[in-house]
Amino acid sequence: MIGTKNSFLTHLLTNRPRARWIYPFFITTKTATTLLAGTEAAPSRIPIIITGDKDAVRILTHLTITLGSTLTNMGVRLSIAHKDHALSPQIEVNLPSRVFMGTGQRPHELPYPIILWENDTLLIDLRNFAAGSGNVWVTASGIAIQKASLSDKFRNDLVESSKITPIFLSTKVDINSNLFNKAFLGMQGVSVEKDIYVTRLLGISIDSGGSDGEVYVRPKTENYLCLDGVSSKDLLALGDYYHDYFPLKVDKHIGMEFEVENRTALTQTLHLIAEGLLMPGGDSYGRMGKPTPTRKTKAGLSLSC
Amino acid sequence: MLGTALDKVDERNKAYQLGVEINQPNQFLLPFPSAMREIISLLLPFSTPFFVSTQPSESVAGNTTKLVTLRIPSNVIFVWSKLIAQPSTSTMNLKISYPGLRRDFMRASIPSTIITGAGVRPYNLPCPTIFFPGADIGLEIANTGGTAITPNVTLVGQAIWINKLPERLKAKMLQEDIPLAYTYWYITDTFGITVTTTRTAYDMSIVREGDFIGEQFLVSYTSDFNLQCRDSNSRQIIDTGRASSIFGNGEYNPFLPYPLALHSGEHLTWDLWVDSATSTVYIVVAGIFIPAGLAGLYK
Repeated sequence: MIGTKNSFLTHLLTNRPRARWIYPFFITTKTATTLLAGTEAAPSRIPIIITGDKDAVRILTHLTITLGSTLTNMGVRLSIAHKDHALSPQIEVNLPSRVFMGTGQRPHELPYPIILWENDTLLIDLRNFAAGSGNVWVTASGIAIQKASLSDKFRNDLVESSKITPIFLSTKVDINSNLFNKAFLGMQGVSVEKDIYVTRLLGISIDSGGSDGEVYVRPKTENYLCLDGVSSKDLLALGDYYHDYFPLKVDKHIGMEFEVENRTALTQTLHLIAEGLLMPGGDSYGRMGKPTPTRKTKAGLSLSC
Repeated sequence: MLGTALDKVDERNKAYQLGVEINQPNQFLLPFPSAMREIISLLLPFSTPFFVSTQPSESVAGNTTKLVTLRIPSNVIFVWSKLIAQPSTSTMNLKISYPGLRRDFMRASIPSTIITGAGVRPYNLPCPTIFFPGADIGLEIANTGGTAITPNVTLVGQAIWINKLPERLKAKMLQEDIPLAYTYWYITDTFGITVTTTRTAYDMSIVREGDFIGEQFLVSYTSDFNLQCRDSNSRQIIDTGRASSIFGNGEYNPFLPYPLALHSGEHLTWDLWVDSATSTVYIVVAGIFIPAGLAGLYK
């Protein structure tokens, strides 16, 4: 098994030191921010910016959302961008908030924490495509570490561990009634020096009536994930109910391809997101742990094992 | 060829390990002090699952309080880890105690929806809590409604069968002064707060002698409300939030992203307000209480 001894976060979360300089945090960007009614052509929009604290490093681990009044978690859609580096590639498609955000009772845990240094900003762009309107509250939570208490070693370890970043691949595809289509989770913007591991598939299909729909999805990869089409309601998790799969290493040049079948009488729009880790490749790969050890023979030769 | 294939598996292992160790700390790491974890893991081979429940006919009349005693068998050490109540009603309040050790697990009676779950989604205690053989568990059940209820409260955990324990381990485990942390539910000094549109501060005092490690924020309310939370060290824990985006409850009880360490004499201050009308609010911080003098034993 690979060691993670250089990881600051592993140390932090395994040993859980109890100290005044490290504590949980919850930031809600604004109270009572109103999102007005919109349409597909002209959505109502509010940008929400989460800014790093000048006194503390913030390790963002969870996201939740509360929608007030008549807002719906399928009508309110979001995209996320990080000003500097952490989210790459970022979520560019407007995803229904239900796919990506949790609640206080069931928060959505990011596939890997996002580290917000001082003045770092995370932009969550909310758009409302539906007729409802109301207040919206987005909460980011995680671990706060007071900067004054960070030793050089801790800071260096934290910088080092931030070389692993979360990855979000998202797409949207329309499928006409009783037809097939293809969906691709592309690799645009991904640094080729890094390896991509997908650990979760999330998403939802919305029918032309705006309701929770269903399509049959067959992921097509080099090694099959499944042999036949699986209902999107079974295959794809949601923001507050999700679990990790055994990680799939994705070819950074090809990405992931899906065959999608619509067996209903309505047009379906499939929103699809793959979450995972973007890890240092190449030489830096060894930094996280040594490769499989070799056995020495009496003659001094080594055998792969 | 085989080496290449194994390398690939190894790569996957690496990602998998990172995934589970870094990103899901509270699901996979046992959230209690290491000394406690070592003791309990040592006893696993001598344990079975164990359920301690109220009698099916136990009834509590409307607007009354009843003290029910659950007795642990004399050959069992009970390690309590989950709490279930059926039905979990908003009119049932619970106060749980261990009279033999003069220990209460909360200062006052707590609405059952905050600290009990159902069979499918039980409430997970932040810290396994030990009852010794023959112990009485005090269960004070208050029915705040006008109609009689028949509550079925179940404590779930593991039974360590002491007649199976090796002699040396048995002697050690039966010393009631062995260092034990236990679950404690801290509540705001004013409980059952009527929150109005006027922003008002309420304290939660850490008065017990020892260390407290907050692990879960839990709540019950009649309508969603806004809040801020800071501690007496000026740490801003919740920077203006919405209750439904932050709190769990008895059935859905996520652990905090990181434990909140507090010491006796410190306090949390909660600023609460609503946008309109009022809300009746119960706030609980569930965590691990480490009695004074024992802190050095825990990492």
